[in-house]
Amino acid sequence: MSTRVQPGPILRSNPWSRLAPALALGLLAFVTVLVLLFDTAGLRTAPDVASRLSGAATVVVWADGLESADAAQARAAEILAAVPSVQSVTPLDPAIADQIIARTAGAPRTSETRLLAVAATDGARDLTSRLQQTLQSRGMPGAVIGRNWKESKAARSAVLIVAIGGLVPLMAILGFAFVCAGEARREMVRARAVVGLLSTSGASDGYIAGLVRARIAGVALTAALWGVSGALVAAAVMSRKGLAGALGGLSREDLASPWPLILVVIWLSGALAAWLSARAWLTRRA
Amino acid sequence: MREEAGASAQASPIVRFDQARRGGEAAGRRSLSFALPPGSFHILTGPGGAGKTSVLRLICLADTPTQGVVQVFGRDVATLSGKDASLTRRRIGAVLHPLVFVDHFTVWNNAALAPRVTGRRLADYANEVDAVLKWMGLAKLADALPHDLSAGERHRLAIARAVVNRPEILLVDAPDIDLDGAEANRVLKLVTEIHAAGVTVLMASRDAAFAAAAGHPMIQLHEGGATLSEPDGR
Repeated sequence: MSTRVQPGPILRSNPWSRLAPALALGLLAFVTVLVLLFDTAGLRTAPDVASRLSGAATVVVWADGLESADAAQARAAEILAAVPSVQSVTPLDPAIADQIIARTAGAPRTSETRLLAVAATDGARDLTSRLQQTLQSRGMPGAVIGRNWKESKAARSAVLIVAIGGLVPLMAILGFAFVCAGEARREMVRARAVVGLLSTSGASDGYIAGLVRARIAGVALTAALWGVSGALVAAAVMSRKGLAGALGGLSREDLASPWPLILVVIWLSGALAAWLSARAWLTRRA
Repeated sequence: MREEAGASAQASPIVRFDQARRGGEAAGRRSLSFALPPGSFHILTGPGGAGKTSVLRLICLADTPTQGVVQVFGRDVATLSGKDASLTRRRIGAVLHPLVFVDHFTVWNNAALAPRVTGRRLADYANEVDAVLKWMGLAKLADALPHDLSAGERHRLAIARAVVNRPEILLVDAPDIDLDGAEANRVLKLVTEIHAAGVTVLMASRDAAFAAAAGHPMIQLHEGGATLSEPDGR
């Protein structure tokens, strides 16, 4: 008998009335996932930055004209070994962290780069500038990063990448919670008459808050999925255009990174905030 | 016969007002004292703004008194926890103005709202909903939407929804307010049948003639409070 079929949700409102929060949540999910994707790529790279900058100075050289990166690295090793107070120059095998170091040191985006670790006697003065001048005088394209790597732009970038990895999910959780709690309050006001009816019909506050949570969580999930889809497309495009180069580029590992789990936590925080907000509204009303 | 409403209360009333009031005196509300014994049928009368709907809302725990005590089933409504309040509401059927329905639900599903939201299984209450809709003369409209119903049908649907969970007390707000005489009498007849099944009834009406014709004790709200008057000849 058709009349006995369980109907849809009790609370239903005009989808357009939810457009603003849905857009806000979708945008939040888009930015969060995009940042997390690139941050994952960055996190793959960042931990190696410190070990690559362990010498008294680190020199970045790159392919130029007919000279390959490997050839440039070999030539630079010879040139730099002759600089006073330099004890040794060690060509470093290519590593993924080299890209972030090279880009932040000023290497051309399109060039292949190589690193060299320079060891020097204690108390060597102006080593960085002397190395740089020597390279320039020999027509060698390259950049020198000093001993105090913690103050280098590359190291700061690495720290920033790690910090973003922690801060972005936290900000997203707070953002989702804020938007969902506000939308739950608006939903309670919008559906005030039906909420009153449910209450006088014997529904518990938890049941009513659960209805609101289900509505808001549904909107949040839809918005988040749109945001994620957009972020994946944007990430793929940006990676293809080489915009993620400094972070080592996006790999399949990055796409399988923990961000889906983080997004679930973000979504759950929004649902919980909606439920708490609805409960608080019902308590205040009583 | 006229007497103070509070003085007629029997032992263990199902509802008791003791100097209770919602809102300030400036709003024209006086504190009320009266009691409803189990199985009774009272008509709550008084001019518009006398507080009839407020009384019903206090009994069905939609509001709490700002002064005095309201006891429902022997418990002070102001001290009930949220869980106890919802459990108490399940023992009360309320038809309050304005009538509210879930607009996108059919008549059947609106009638089934109370059992649904109180966690009963569809299989357990489906037959009861069918029976109540038949009783209310709405069986053929089970698949209609509330906005397709006439005023009388909407009122009967509200009553069906209020009684489907078999409440111990039924509160009906002003059936005469938007119904013609025939429909109002039909509602009164249905409510009388519900009362005959053992349900305590409190029905509000501003129409003195309608209230008197019902033939039940009246609680009259006025500036001095509440006065109980028995129907003539009783």
